[in-house]
Amino acid sequence: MNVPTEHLLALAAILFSLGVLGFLTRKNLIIVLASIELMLNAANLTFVAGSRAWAAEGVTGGSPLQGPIFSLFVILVAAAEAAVGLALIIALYRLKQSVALDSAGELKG
Amino acid sequence: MLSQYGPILILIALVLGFAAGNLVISELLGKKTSAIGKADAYECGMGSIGNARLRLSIHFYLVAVLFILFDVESLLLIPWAVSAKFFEAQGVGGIVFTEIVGFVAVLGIGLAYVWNKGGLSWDR
Amino acid sequence: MNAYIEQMGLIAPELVLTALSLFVLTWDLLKKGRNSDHIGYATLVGLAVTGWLLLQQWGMLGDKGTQTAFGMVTIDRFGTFFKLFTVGSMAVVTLFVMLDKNERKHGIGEYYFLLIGASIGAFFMVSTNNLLLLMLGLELLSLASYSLAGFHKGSKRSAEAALKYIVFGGLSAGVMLYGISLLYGLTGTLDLGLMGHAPEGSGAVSLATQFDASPIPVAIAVVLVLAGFAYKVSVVPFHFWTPDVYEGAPTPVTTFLAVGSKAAGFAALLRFVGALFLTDGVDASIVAYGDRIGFLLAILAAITMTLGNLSALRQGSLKRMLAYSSIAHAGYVLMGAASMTSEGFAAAMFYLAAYYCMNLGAFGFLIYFEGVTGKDDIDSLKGMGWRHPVVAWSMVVFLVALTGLPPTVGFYGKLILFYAAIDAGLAWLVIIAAINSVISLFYYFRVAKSMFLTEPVPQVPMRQHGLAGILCVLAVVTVLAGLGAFKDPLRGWADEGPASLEIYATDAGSR
Repeated sequence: MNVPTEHLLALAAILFSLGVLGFLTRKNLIIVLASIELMLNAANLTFVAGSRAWAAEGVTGGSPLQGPIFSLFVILVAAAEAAVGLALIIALYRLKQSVALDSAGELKG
Repeated sequence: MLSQYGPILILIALVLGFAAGNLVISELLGKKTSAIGKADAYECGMGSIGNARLRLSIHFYLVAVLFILFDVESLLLIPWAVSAKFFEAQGVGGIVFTEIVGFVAVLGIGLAYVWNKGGLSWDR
Repeated sequence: MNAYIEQMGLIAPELVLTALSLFVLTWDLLKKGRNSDHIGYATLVGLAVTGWLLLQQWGMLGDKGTQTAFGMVTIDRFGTFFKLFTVGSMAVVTLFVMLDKNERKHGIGEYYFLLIGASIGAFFMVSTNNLLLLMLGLELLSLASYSLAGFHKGSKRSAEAALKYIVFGGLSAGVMLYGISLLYGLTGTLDLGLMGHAPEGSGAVSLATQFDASPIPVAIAVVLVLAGFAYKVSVVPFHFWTPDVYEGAPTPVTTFLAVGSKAAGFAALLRFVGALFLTDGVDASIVAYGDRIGFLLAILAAITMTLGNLSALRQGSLKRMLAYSSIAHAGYVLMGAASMTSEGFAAAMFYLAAYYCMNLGAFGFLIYFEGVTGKDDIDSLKGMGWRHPVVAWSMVVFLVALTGLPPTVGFYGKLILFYAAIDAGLAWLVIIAAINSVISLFYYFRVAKSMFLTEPVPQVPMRQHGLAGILCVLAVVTVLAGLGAFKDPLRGWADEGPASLEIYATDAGSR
């Protein structure tokens, strides 16, 4: 009843692609940030899957917990990035009354 | 057999005690008011009936983000807790404990900063 | 117990910086944002202590690096080289903030706190072989930079710059982390040394071995990680954000982004590429795929410098022009990495050192100029040469250095980059770079022409003596560093960096 590693990796790849797709196609800044979170979670899933697969083979380059711990840090980074990102979105909203990526058009050239 | 689950029992007792204790303390020390708002099903600052597309105060967002940040930062205690035994076996338990105290102190400075800047006060 | 504390001593500069950042933040809280000049001075003192500790460390380190914190932190001359320049540029940026009349009103404690935080990130980023710490350092640097870019809260341009920066920065972080997770899945380790060369019994599989078995996943993972670095150092096709962010951000922050942040990104890029692909002396299997990565970097370098220079030609704003010029310079530095030899890496390090001097100067001039006129377009420069001769002549020195003409450090830096690239068989890249240097002459000369050869426009005769003094010193350094007495030690330093890196990469497994 074990989920094969390939399935986990495929799921992660799909999540990552969805994130990139969302980033490229959506105009709402909040959704763009959410897409980035999706990509980070794809990385998390790959870390955990990789860690499990290596542990099953008895191979642990350094420490068996490297993968899961890395994903803890990724979660941390994601939260910090979301906090700063949302704060900046609010700063822009106060000046422009909009959260669309297009509303950021002051700088060109 | 049962002794193996001892820590879990203690944890359950702690959790229940914490919840009950908070209720009791707020009952004993809290100021009692009765208003229409208090009778609402969800007592979180907004009317529970009405249009869902209403504008929220920015304070909700601010408090939520602050909560998330401190919540996630305390996540970093987990890797420390996992490796603490190893360090104690190495004879450097004291130093490693000092390090985590330093980490919490840094978080404390962050909290002091937020507090001082008025991030926690509701009516400003 | 004592050994443990001794090991902590190796990261003393980082600890001092961390303490400094907390001190600055707390002091600002207690002072309630008043009288921020004292905080600026405290920052300078802290940076001086850090610099002194780094110099001590440089003296103690041998050819070979040492590791501390259970292999998480690698202290070697390569990293210390970049840390020294980071501290130096931080000190200059702090002075810019303190002396610039536009920034003074914003120059509150958080400004310094974020700048120090960014340099702590840069410090850890350049001194680790572990991808976890590298990523954390990079994120710390990035998060502080995002906030700094949006520091002028009421300004639309500043808010927009910060937002563009974080949106594209978030994308690159996601791409890079996914790449790192794939690398971890492929090799079973996060240590770059083990990834490059895993000995028997180390419990990891080297990337070269995996490349022989399944080349495509390895290629994807490496390209994804390189994309993250390419964003940080603004290499085409990940350069979109650079002109907008540089233009919208407060100018001292732009200075830091163009100098400190970019150099730290290059340091991490060189370490990554060096550990995995440096061709000197490691297995033959690495040579095979290292060359392909080298070729990829060479193509990126050619496109980056050409696009940066051509776009810089048609800019009306000096700030935007310098942004495109910094993209072009990223292309030159990438030549060193593309050559895939220790010689090329040393050349890239030397050029980055030169880049610190000349770009700090050029952006310092921009701050002075904005302070005088309130504008940043090249046409408003008219008459600067006659009204502010000292500053204008300093700028001429920086422009000469940026173009890469003797007798400045820019010329010598380009020379050794070209030599290294020719030795690595990249003669075509050198020809493109030479053509690009000629193109860059046009737009750099336009600035000088505007300052000296056109009729002065009426200006408020305002002078900022402090800034002018710093610019003068930087100009003198830029010239001297290109001449014998100063050049040779700098060259020596740069040469020792990759040496420590290379020995480290081959011996990684034996510790």
